[in-house]
Amino acid sequence: MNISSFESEFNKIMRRDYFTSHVKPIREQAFNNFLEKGLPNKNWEDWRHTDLKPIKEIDFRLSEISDAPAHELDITEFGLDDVHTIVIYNGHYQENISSVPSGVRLISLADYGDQNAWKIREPNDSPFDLLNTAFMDSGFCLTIDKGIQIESPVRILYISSTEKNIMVSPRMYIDLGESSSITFIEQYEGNCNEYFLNGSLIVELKENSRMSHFRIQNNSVDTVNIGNIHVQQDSASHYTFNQFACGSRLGRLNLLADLNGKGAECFINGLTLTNNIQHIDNHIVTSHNAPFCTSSQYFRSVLQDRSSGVFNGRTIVSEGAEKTDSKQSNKNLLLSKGALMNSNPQLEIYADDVKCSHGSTTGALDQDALFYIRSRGLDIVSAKSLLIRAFVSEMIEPIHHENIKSYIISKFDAWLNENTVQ
Amino acid sequence: MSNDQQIIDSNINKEYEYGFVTDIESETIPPGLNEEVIRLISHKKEEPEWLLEWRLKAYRHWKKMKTPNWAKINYPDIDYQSISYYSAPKKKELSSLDEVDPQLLETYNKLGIPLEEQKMLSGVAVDAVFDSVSIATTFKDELKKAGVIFCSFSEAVKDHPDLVQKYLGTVVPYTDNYFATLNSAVFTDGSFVYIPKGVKCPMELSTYFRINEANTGQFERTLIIADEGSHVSYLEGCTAPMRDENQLHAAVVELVAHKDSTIKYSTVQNWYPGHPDTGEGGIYNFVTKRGTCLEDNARISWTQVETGSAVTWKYPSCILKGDNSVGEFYSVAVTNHHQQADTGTKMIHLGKNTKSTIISKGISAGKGQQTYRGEVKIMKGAEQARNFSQCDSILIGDSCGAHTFPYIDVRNPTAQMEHEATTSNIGEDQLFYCNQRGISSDDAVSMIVNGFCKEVFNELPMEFAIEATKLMEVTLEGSVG
Repeated sequence: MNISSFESEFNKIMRRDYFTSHVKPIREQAFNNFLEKGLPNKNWEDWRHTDLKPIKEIDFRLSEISDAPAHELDITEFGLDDVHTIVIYNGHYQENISSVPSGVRLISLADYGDQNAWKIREPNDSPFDLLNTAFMDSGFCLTIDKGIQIESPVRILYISSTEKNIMVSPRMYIDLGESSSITFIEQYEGNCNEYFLNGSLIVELKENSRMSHFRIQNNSVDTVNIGNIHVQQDSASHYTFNQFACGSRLGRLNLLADLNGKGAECFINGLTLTNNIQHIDNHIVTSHNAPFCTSSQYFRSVLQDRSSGVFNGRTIVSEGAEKTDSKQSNKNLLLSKGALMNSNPQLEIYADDVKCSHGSTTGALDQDALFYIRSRGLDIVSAKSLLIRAFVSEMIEPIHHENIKSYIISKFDAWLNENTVQ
Repeated sequence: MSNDQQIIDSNINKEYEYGFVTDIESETIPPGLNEEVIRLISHKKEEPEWLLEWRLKAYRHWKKMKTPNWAKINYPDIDYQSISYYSAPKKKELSSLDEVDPQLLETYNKLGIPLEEQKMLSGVAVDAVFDSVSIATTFKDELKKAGVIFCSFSEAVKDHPDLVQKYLGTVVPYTDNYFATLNSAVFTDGSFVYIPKGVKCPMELSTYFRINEANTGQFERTLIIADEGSHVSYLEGCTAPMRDENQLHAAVVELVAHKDSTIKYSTVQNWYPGHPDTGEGGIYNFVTKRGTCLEDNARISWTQVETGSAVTWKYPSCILKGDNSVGEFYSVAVTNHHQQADTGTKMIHLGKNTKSTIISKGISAGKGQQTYRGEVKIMKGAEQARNFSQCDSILIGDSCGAHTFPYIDVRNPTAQMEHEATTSNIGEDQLFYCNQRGISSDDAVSMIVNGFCKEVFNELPMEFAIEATKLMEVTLEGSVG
């Protein structure tokens, strides 16, 4: 998709009138900024290992009314049946099969903007944030008021199903009031061919609130999935992020977490499984802007065939953020000769009374361990899958929510069956 | 901890002890950079045509390049036209020490290089570089017996042009990076070492660099070649006089290790770090150091102790081409006051069973900013490659920074690579433990810092280990609390 095709799609969206007149200037501003910056290329430090060819090569178009489902959807095939679900199908909100638990207020982006006099956060950290603002659709906001604990998880299910090259730019805000809590699941599913999803999610955690966030990237292997997540944390708030990614031709997660209040905690975890020519890039920045905060970044990847991966994790400890405790760990398992992993765990520290550490390992399965298992009568495929399972289980075991855990295990099992070879 | 605070203050306020200016007549060409200047340098050094051509090619390429800005360092733009690219003490081609300017000898004495006594004292041959031209070289004869060539770069160009032509630019090509390209165009002198087949160099080779003469950038070029089965240990160290104007130093070091050979390159760097309060006047140190393990079983080891310079930009690297070759990098870097350092290494694994080790220790105090930036690249053919990296930082005081940016790129599944890093201050519990056993905070702190750096100091040759420990005392000891 070159700049001129972005422009023609942009003109299309400007002619539509879903949103109030407030949105148009915001879109225009963002799009102009995007044009100034352009799409990232490999000369950009943050993008040096990721090739955006899958975006550049194909002309994507906006989702039309005709891309909405013709008949009622059945979402049972996507698992996790004990949760409340908001369904977005090719960028279209499916109100009739969506629900949220009581205590959660679901409002449209237009209303959310009006309520806040359009003084809402418009992230502009990367060109994809700007693109999202320029093209945002299916935008809405989840608000949980002060002191409300939501027991049942809320899922947002993005289904992509089309033969045509659609681009979708969901925009979402989550506001957690003081001492509230929620478990939130983002799930990406679908069997489509070329598809470009560029979503932005802006999370705000007020004092003492808790959010457990899951991101399941299980869309087709022809999809481009760009996720831009911005997290702001007040004091004593707690944020846990778990990503399970096995889909997408090109996946890129930009997660920026700002710990702005004393004693905030932020734990970011990710498990990536790739094969064929998949490329999944996780770009995480945790900024400690207040003292007594704790954070961690734990990422693991298993790479098969000619797939490649990037882990670019950065922890910034600003001046004055004393007593910071931060850990980074990235472990990668290369299962085949063509696999490639780039790991950049980075620390940027401007305060002295801190404890920060990071570690990274990349390697193949241990030959001695394989031999040990085989000498006890297991065949090579079982021996390998046993070791891979052990490597992965450290990421899956700590998940508290049983249903989500067993869903992820079932996805992992399927992947393992397909990808363990002699 | 008020006592510690005092110690911190007293050390942070310490002025550079080795600052002095030697007043010697020297021959300097006017500031400015153009093809004429390069021709002039080449002409003055009586260089062959091919070398002039090479310089000019580098210069033409350099004109097309932009200053790199990816490093985490800040400094005012350098005006390359205000630098004089050639400066040499007037007297040249001395046959004995008597002919050396007495003032110059005094400078060496202040630096602790008593040329007259060295032969007896240390058994180290010193090729002293004083503003770009080698003045005196000792121990030539003994080295000659072993067949070792150890001379200034310009001598090497005259006496061994074939060797220079064969290897110059093979490790760091003239197109490599902004500062290396500049160096290729205007380098004035440096050291040249060739160790023939099967020879173990009978002594540690050492060059003392010293910057003098205001506004003179130093562009050294060092080329070390270890032929099959040979072994050499090379030492480089420097201090510089106080200056108000920033001095640019853009050196290039190339190492070539043939089959079964070993090169050990050690550096102690203590250039003027700039005014303690403002950071003004310190040396800019933009160095390109790289070694190639060209054939099987070669080994290159870099050890550096970086305590000086206002800005350091330095990544000693190893290209592990031959099977079973080994690359090592041991580094202690200290930034105090307004010093900035962006340093680290690159290990490129190409051959089978190649191994690399990276041990980097950073100490940041005052307003110092320190960055470890290292790349480990394991290419497709590097079966069973192995890397271990460890980068630890200590922060002293609340306005300094320590950053770690490792780049890890693995393209072979049989490779094993590990990276770990920690950043912390000196634990109060550690201090308490020592205090409790009757060790003063001051001693405890120096003990802890020395212990922190021990792994690297152990790699230094004896002569340097002593100097390094002393340097650490001057730069840091006690400033930790």
